[in-house]
Amino acid sequence: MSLKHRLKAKDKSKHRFGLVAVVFFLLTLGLWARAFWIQIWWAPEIKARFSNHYFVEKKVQGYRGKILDRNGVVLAQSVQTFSVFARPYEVKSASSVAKQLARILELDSKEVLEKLQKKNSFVWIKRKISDAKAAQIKKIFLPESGIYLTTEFTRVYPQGHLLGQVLGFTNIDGEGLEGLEKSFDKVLQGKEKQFVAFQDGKGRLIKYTFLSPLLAGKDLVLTIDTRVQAFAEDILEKSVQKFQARHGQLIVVEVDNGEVLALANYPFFNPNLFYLSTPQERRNRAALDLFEPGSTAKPFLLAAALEKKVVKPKSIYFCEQGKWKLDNIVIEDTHPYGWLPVNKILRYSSNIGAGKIALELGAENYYRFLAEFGFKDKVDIPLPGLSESLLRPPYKWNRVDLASAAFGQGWATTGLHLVQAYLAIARKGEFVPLKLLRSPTVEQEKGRRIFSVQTGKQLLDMLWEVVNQEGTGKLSKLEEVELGGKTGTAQKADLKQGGYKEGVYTSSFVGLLPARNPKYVVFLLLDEPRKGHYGGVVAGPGVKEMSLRLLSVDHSLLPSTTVPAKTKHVFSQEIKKEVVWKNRLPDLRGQSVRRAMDVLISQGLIPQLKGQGLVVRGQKPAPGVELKKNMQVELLLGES
Amino acid sequence: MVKKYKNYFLYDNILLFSVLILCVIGLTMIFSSSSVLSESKFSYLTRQAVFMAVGVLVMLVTYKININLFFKMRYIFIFVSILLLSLVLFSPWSKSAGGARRWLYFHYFSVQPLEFVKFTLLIYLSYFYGFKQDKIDKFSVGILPPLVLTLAFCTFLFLQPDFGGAVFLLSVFLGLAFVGGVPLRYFGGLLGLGIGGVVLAVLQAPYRLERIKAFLNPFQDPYDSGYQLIQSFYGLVNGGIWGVGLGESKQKFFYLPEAHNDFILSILGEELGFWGLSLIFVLILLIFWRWIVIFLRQQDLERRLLAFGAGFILLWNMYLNLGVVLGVVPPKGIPMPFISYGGSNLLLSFTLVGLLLNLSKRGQS
Repeated sequence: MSLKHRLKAKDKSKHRFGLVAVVFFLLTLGLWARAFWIQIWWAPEIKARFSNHYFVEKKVQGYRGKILDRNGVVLAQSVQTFSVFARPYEVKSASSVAKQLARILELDSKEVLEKLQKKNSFVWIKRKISDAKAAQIKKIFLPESGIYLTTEFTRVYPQGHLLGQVLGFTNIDGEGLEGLEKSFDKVLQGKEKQFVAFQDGKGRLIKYTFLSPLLAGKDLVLTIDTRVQAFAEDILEKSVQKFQARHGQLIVVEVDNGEVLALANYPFFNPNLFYLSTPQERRNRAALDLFEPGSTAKPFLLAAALEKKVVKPKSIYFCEQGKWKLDNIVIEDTHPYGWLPVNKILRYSSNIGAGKIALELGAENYYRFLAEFGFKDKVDIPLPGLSESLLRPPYKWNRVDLASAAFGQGWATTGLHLVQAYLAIARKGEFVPLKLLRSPTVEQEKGRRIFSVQTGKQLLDMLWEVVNQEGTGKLSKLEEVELGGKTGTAQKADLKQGGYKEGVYTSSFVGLLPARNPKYVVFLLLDEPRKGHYGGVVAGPGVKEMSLRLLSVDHSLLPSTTVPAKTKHVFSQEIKKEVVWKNRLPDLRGQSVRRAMDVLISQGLIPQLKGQGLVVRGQKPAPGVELKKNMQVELLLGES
Repeated sequence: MVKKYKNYFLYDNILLFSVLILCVIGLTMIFSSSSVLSESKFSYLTRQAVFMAVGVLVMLVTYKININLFFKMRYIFIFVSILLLSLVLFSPWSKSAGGARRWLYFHYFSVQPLEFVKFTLLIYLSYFYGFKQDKIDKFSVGILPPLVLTLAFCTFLFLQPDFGGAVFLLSVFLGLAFVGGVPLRYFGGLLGLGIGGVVLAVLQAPYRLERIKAFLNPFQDPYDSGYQLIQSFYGLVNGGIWGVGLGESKQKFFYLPEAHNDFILSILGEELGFWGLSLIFVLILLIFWRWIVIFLRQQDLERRLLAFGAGFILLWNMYLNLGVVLGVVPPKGIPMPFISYGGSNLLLSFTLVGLLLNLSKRGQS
C-alpha cells in the first residue's frame, strides 16, 4: 500500500468526518430542542390528557360488628379471608393458568378459562378461599401473572347452627339478609370511608392504610345465653326426633327481666352454610309460625275470670261427663268429669269447664284480657317479619266461638307471644315485653300490671297442681325443684277444607320454674308429632329435661346449696376433656370452636378467629405460653 | 511520524470524567426506578455496580493494550462473533423472549452478542479501510468483503429477529465506509440497498408497520401499541422544567415499562426535569468534543478510523436511545450507554471509551 494513497485518504477522512460531526452536532441540538419542546412547550396539552390518572378514589368498609351472647361468647364475627381475581388482559397463556387455578381452587378449568378470556379488566375467579389455598396461589402466581389476591370479609358463625334462625346470615358482600343480621344491618355494618390513593400502572394501590378500628360496626349483645341455647337445641332435636314431629321450637325466658335465654328452632339452620339451606330451615318459627294455642290458653281465661271475680278457685262447674252440646256443636273432654272446681278444670284441662267459665266471663272481657296479655300486638323483638296473632274482634264471636277460644281454638298466635303471656303470669300479673337485645338498648314498653298479685298467686298454685297433683303435666314432675306448667294439645285447622284435621296436633308445654316463684319460663312446642300427641306426653318431658339443665347452670334454683348428683352428671357431659390452665395457655387444637371459645372466654380472652371451619386446627401463641391480661389469642379454624 | 507523548493520567480527563459522571447518574436513576420492582430495593443497584466495576476494568485493559493487537486479533473476533450469534439461534442457552431470541442466558448473567458484534465490526472495518486504501476503488476487493461480512452479521440478526440491531450494524458499516474513503458513487447503490432492505423487512413482518404507525401517532392506540411511547411522554411532561424531585417519579410505578432500562431517561426527565436532561446533553457534547479532538490527533488512518468508529458507535447508541425516549425514532430495544441497567452494552461502551483513551495517548505532544 503506497504512502500516497494513505495520505490522500487521511485528508479525505478528515473532510468526511467533518460532515459526520456536523450531522451529529445538529442531531444533539435537535434532540435537545425536542426535549425542551416536549417538557415545556407541549406539556400543558399532554397533561390535560392524563391529569389524575395516578390517583383513584377508594372506599373502605370497616369490620362488621360482632354478635355476642350475654357472656361475650361470639355468635357471629367477620374475619378477613382471601379472594382471587384476575386481570384477563395481563394473563399470558390463559389455558395453563386456568388449569393451575382450577386445580388449586377445585374449579372447572373450562369455566376458569372462559373467565380469563373475558375482555373485562377485572374478574373474580373465586371469593373467600382458605388461607392454605391463598398461600399456594401466592407461591405459584407471581405479581406479573395477572392473577391477584385481595382480602375480603367473611362472616363466620363460630357456633354453627346455634341460634341460626335468629342470627340470620349475610350475603357474600356482607349485607344482612335475614334475622338479626338483617334487622340490625345498619348497626352492624362497618362505616365506609372514602380516600384517595396512589395507584400503580397495574391498578394496585400503593401505601395506604386499609382498615381502622374506628370504622368497625357496632357489636350486638344478645340476652341469649349460649350454654342454655345449646342445651335447648340439644333437647329440641331429641324431642322432635323421638316423637317424629315435623318441626319444633323451644324458648327459655328469664322471668326477672323478660330476657330471652334461648330461642331454638328445629330443623337447625347453619348460617355458615346458608346457601345449602332451604327457606323452611331458615324460618324462625318461634317468631313467625301461627298456631292455635289449645289448652295452654286456659290460664289466660282463668286470669280474667279470677280478676273479674266471675269465679273463685273453689267455684264448681258441671263438666257434662265429657260431652257438652252447645248450639249444635259438641264439645268434648278427653276424660269424662262431673262437677269440677276451677283449679281442677285447669289441672285436668277440661274444655267443657273452660267453655262454661268463658260464657260466664263474656267475649268482651276475655278478649280484653288477651289483648292485655300482648296477643293483639306484635312481639316487641327486633326480628324481621314478626307475625301478628290471628284474633278476631269479640263482637264477631258467637257462643261456640267464645267457648272454643277459652281452650285455645279458633285463634292463633306465635310461640313468642305465648311465652310473653306466661311471663306475665310468672311475674304474678305484671306484663313486661320480651327482650332479646342487651346492647344497643332499644326503647321498649315499661312493665304494667294486668292483674293482681293475688290472682297471680292463685294461678301459679293451679299451674303447680297441673304438674304435681296428677294433672295433665304429671310426667314433667321434678324431684329437685317443683315445676309448674300447662299442657296444650291443639288440633290443627284444615286450611283447605275448613274445620280441623283428624289426628294432626300441635303439642306444647309451658313450664314455670320453680312453680310458686318462677325464675324461668320454658316453652316447648312440637308440630304434628306422629308418636303421641298429648302436650303433657310429647312436650312435657322435654321441658322437664330443660329444667334440669337450667338447674345445672343456675344453682340458686336448688333448695339447698349442695348440688345433687344428677345435675352434676348433666353438667359433666359438656366437659369432654379436662383443660389444664396453670396460668399457661392450654392446648386447644382439635377442640371444637365452641369448646375452645368457652375455655378462653372463661379466662376473659376473646380469641380472634381465622379461617373457616368448626374445629381448631392451630393456635397462636403456642400452648404453654404464659397468660397475660388482654393477650391476643388467634385460633386457626379448619374442617374436622 | 510517531510523536512522543507524555504520560498523563489516562490522557483525556474530560472524556473520562464525562463518562464517570454519566455512570453515577446511571446508578442513581437505576436505584430510583428499580427500587419499586424488586423485593430487595438494592438488587438492581448492586448488580449494576458490579457491571460497572467490571466495565472499568475492561476499560483500563483496553486502554493499556497496544492497539495493533486488536487489529491482529480481528479474525478471532469475527469467529467469536459468529459463534455467539449461532449460539443465540441454536443453543439451549438462549430463550425466546417476546418472540425473539437475542440473549444468551447463563446462570448469573445474560449476554447480548450484538454488542460484541458491534465491536468486531469496528475493529475489522477500521483495519480494512485503514490498510486497503489502494484497492478501495475496486468493487470486488474494496467494497465487497466488508459488505459481505456486515450482511452476514445482519442475516443472523434478522433471524433472531433483531431488525434494529441489523440496521445499527449497517449504519456502522456505512459510517466507516464513508469516512474510510469509499467513493461516493457506491453510496447511491448502498443507500438503495438499505432502503430496499427496510421495505422488505417491514413487508415480511407486519408488526413493524404497526410499530411505525403507533410511533407516528401514539395517541391513536394509547393502551396497546402506542402505550410505551405515551408513557415516556407522560414521564417527561410530569417533570417539566425542574422535575418532580429525585425518587418522586410516578411513572416508575409500572406505568412506564422498562423504566430502569431503555426508558430510564424518561424517568430522569420526570424526576430531574428538563435541566436534568440538559446535563446529559452537556455530557454528550463533551464526549462529542473529545471525540473530534482524539480523531484529529491520530496520525495513522486505521487509528483515525478506529477513533471515528468508537465515538460513532457510542454516540449513535446515545442518539438512538434519546430518539426513542423523545419519540422521534420508533421503539427499538436500545439502552442508553452508561445509564441504562444492563451489562452487555455497558461493557461495549467502556471498551469503546477505553479505545478512545488509548488512542488519546498519541498526539498529546
